[in-house]
Amino acid sequence: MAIKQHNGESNEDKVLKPDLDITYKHKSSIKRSEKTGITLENEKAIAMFEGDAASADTPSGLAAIYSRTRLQADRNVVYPNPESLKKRVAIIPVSLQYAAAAIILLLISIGAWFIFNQENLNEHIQYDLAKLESIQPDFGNPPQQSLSLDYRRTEIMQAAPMLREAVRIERINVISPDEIVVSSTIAATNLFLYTRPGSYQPPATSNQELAINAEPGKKTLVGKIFSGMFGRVKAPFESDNIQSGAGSSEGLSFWDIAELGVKGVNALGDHDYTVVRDYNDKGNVKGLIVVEE
Amino acid sequence: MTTREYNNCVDQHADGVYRFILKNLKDEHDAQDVVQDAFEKLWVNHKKLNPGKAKSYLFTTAYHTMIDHIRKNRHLGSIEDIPETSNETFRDYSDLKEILDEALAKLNEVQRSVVLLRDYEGYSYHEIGEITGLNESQVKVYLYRARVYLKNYIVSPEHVI
Repeated sequence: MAIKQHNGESNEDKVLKPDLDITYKHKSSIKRSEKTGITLENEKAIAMFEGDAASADTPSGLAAIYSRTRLQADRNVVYPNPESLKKRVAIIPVSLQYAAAAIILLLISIGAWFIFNQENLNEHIQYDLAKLESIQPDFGNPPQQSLSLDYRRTEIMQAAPMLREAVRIERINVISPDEIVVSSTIAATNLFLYTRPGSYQPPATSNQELAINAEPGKKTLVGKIFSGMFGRVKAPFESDNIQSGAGSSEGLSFWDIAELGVKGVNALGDHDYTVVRDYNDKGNVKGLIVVEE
Repeated sequence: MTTREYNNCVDQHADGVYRFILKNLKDEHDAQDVVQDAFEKLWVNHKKLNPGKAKSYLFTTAYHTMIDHIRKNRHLGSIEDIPETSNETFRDYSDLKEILDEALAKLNEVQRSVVLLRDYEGYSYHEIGEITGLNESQVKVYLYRARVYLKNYIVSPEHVI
């Protein structure tokens, strides 16, 4: 259809044209970030809030709102019993030096026990052993005490990783300023010391094992004594009672030996371990707990 | 790490790990179990670990144990399923923290963890990535989307105090 013309106006002048000066000023509020999928405006505000970028053109109001999304930890919420997560130090020391010192003192004590009790050491159980190993700890210069300890790691240890700290004393020689010499004869007692994770109680039928620190979740020290002395060492411990004080009159027990060992560790290693006797409800001692102060 | 250093870790980090897990699981006993499990694993490996890495190790272990726990017990929707604005019925809110807690609970476990690690512990994107197994870009995307959700939640009409 023909369009009627007036005053020389063309058809094109009759068509509405957009005003290009009018623009949408908030494109960034609807554009999306290729990375996060959120709007660019939000992304800029969060980046500024998180310290990822300094963005001068971010609306201050939006940044202020994001600052309110910062979570604050409630410091009143605490783990109920953190002490239950902590670990006590077991009697078997972490370093060979201290281990050697402890074992030496244990053996000295056992030797003393044998001297006083005139025990016959003929009983002997043979074990297949791995290679012989030696420890020669350095106690300072000039040395106040020198020692060498030869021992074999046992097949028990190799077969069961949980017994990895087991040692069988093979031979021990100690020379102190006082000329104390512990002969290898003492090693014939076949003393084993090893640790086990967690609680452990020797079988009721066992006539060779005693366990220290048999407390749930803690490390247990187990001593094995393969000789006829076991019954006489075990008896004082079993009769030890907090009220009667029995046991102390029975002579040296395995636990007495362990306490001496810990005192030796303190003296040689500048440690501050304390031995605490653990009693059951009836007042009978059920184990020793070694704690680090 | 020595026993003494391990015990120091208990003093320094047990509360932080506990808060982080509790905020996710909403159950004190479950959270305590996760924390205990994380410290047991730390103890098993304490001789091999540098004390400086202990905190990261704890959060990483606790995070993965928590994720396993959540996935065994329930299914959560992803952030894509969450509407930009809530249509919940109006209710009274006493403060911003209460609203934020409610919004936080609506995030999925990964986003919630990323925000908590960022805000509670001040971890960098890289550190959060090491704990959660995400790369830095993914951490940033999760965090940014979570921020938008939290912001939309607190400014929605029914949540304005």
